[in-house]
Amino acid sequence: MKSLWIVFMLSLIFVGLTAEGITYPRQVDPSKVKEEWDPLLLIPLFSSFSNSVYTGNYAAAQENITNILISYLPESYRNVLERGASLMQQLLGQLNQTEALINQTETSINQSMFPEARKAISEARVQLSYANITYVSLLDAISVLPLGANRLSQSLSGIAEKIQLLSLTLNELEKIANSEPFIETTISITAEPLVVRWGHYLEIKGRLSASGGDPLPGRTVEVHVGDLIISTVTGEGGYYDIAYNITSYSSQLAVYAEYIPVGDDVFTYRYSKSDILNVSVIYVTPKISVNLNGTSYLPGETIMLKITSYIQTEVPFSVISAIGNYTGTLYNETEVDLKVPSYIEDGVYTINVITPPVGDIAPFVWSTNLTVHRLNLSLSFVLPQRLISGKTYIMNVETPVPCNLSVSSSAGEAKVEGSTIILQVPLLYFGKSMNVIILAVPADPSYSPVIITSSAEVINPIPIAVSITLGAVALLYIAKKLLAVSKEIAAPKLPSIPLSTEEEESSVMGGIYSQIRRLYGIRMEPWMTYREYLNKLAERAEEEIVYLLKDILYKLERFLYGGREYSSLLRVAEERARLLYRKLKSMIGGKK
Amino acid sequence: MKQYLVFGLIFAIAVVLLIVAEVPSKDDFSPDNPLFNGLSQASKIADIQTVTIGSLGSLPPNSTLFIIGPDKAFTEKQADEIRGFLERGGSAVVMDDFGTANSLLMMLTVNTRLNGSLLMDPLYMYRNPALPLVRFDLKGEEMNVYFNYATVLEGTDDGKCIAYSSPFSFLDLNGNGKKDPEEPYGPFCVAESLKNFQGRLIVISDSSVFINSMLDKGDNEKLLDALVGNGRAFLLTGLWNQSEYTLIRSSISGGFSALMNTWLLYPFALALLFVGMEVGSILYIHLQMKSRKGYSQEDIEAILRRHPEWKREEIEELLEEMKK
Repeated sequence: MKSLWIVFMLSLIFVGLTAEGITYPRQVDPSKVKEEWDPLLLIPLFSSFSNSVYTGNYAAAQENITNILISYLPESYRNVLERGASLMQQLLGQLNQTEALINQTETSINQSMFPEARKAISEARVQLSYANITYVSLLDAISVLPLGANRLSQSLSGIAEKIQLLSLTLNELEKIANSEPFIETTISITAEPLVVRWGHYLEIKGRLSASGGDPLPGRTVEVHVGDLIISTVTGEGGYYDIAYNITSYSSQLAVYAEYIPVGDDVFTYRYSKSDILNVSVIYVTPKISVNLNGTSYLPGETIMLKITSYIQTEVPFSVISAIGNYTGTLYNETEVDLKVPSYIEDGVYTINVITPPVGDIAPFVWSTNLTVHRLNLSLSFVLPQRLISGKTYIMNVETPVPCNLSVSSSAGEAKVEGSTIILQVPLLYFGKSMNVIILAVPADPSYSPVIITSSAEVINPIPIAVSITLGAVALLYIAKKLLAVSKEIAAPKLPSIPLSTEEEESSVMGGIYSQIRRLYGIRMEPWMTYREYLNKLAERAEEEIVYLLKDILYKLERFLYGGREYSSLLRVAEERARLLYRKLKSMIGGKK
Repeated sequence: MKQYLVFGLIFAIAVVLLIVAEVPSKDDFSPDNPLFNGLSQASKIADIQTVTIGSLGSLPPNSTLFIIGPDKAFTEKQADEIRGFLERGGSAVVMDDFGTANSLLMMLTVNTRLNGSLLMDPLYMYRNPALPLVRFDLKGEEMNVYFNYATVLEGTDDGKCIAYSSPFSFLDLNGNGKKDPEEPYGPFCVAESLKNFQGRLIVISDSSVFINSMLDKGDNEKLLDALVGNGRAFLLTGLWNQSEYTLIRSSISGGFSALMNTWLLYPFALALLFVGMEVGSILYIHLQMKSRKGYSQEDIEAILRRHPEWKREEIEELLEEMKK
């Protein structure tokens, strides 16, 4: 038997082993799963951060820090990484600040604001030294990670290189700022004409000279015409001259010239800026009006745009919107019809009407918002408040437009036949309520689909009938049970025998015991058996009394335990008890 | 003897009911299971009600139906009912890894499939590469969610991928737990949202995101809240291979619930009244008889005073006999 068990268990293990393949558990308890961590995987993250810093892509560097923080690290190293990430964050701020100050320095130098430039350099140096300290702290903080000191410093070398690069840049700028150029420059400007037609040329002239009036030939001058910057080089005598074809549709253009020293001039000449001239541009502003036939549309409806042009030239135009597009040519007046697609969702849509620039005619843009909405579909459907299990209900659904109806219910079978819903409540459905859901999809896209959920109380007659029957049975049962219980727990006692018609209210046996107690002083104690009582009585009472009582008790006992067949004995006992009672009473009377 | 049988039976039923009420299920994804693999916390947080196939027709249209880790392949009837729920505007979230949700996706005519190979991430993970971290972008909100023995999705061209694994993640095709040269690197799509009929179908390539032991990791709980939104949440049950205990437990609790909420309550209450009456009468009679049989030491002393010749031991023995 024992060997059979061993064979059985071994076969179970064997079957278990053969069943094992690449079957994964659906899940494991994360608190009990084996920890597997490769610290070397942090190296690419650090390298990526370092490279982002080196290339000045601080946004990417910031993302790298987030990625480092969400990567897995055992709890013992978690605070190290959090400290490292905090230092990286600090480092980014300091480098960013340094670069901002460098930019500020360059701008100041370009505009010959040298004291400001020197101040910015000084502040930048402070920030850079902080960044250097932070970098060293970072290396120190994360040196506890099991990555190896060399590998770690190599992965973050981009930061060191960046600090070095910024330091070199600052040195260069400092050199420029400290050798402050001292020769002021002046740049003049004239423009002809000051009111120019679109497509015509604007002639801009001027001169660049050093303080004292010495011309500065061969210098690059930047001429601003509105938002446009045109670079030109000064000729002999420091003069510059450009002709610019005006193609802007701005009515006013600010025109001025700037001299920004470059190369060796940075150390010699100062920045200068000319006066600003305002040039007016003449072009045709299109007068076009657009009218819509409404502001709110239903799917399937047509949007009618009436576009009127007040210019005597034919211009192309486009209507652009998420509802639909249209391209055509506009002359005097044209009408465009856009049909709102049936599939489009309800919402607010923008309609744009644009004309492109055509020669001296400026572009035109007009836009407005319009609303697309569907009408609410009102379904008329009445589900009875109470449904009876086993019955079939036929209900009509009335809709203002033809609809595709579908119905489902939480119990029973529900189906649609035309516009009629047939609901069958199963006889054996014992739930107290049920839901009926109707989905109506209108054929007309102007209406929204509607879902109606109706609920009704369900009454099942079977359990109600069973309950009533059971209730009636229960009442009978309770009555019977109460009777039986009271009978069961009732102590067997001698029947009460009325002494006479006058004395029926008291017990004859009680009367006998009472008389005997008074005559002989013998009490029927609760613990006494009748025999003990009779024995006691025999010691003091007359033989006849003892005999009579013994006879009565004997007969009563026979009746009590013998049942109905001894009922005649009860009558005899009753008669004799009355006799004995009277006898005892007369004996008491005689004694008195 | 008969009384003992009745009392024994009642006691046994009471013990069984007590066990059923107090000892929860240990099955995966059971909403009653408070252990690591259960969904008791998620059910409590999102007020998830259980629902079975056959009653999806009564769910409100703006509700979210979670279909988590099915063990059995879906039938055409089940798929039809889920399709009906989507047609009415409901949202269904299908969460599976190596299970059988592909059968449902196929019947819903969706091209998305669960790959079935294990997704691992040695860098973005929780303790073990098999518990990878993925990034969700749901309605513009970014969430870091931890998976637990997950796979990836394929054929996600129809819908919008709403979650990706990290570029360090890989598919463990041979199940050796390591990155081999032929095994592809991520990022992989691990969750997709598809507009399906009037409703929305979301497929997530892990069934364990919301189990008790994962809910407090990362933004898993936040994801649950985002998926449920303002509507009501339901968990589709009857898809798992249940243990015998769970089967008995759910049958008893289901039966009890059916009794309490249906017309069957009234006949049941009356039947219970009958049993109560029977038991009560037996108990009452028993107690009455017992109290009557009670004799005190004073009674014995009184008898001995009357009959000093009687032996005390014999009287006591006689009274003990009478008690029985």
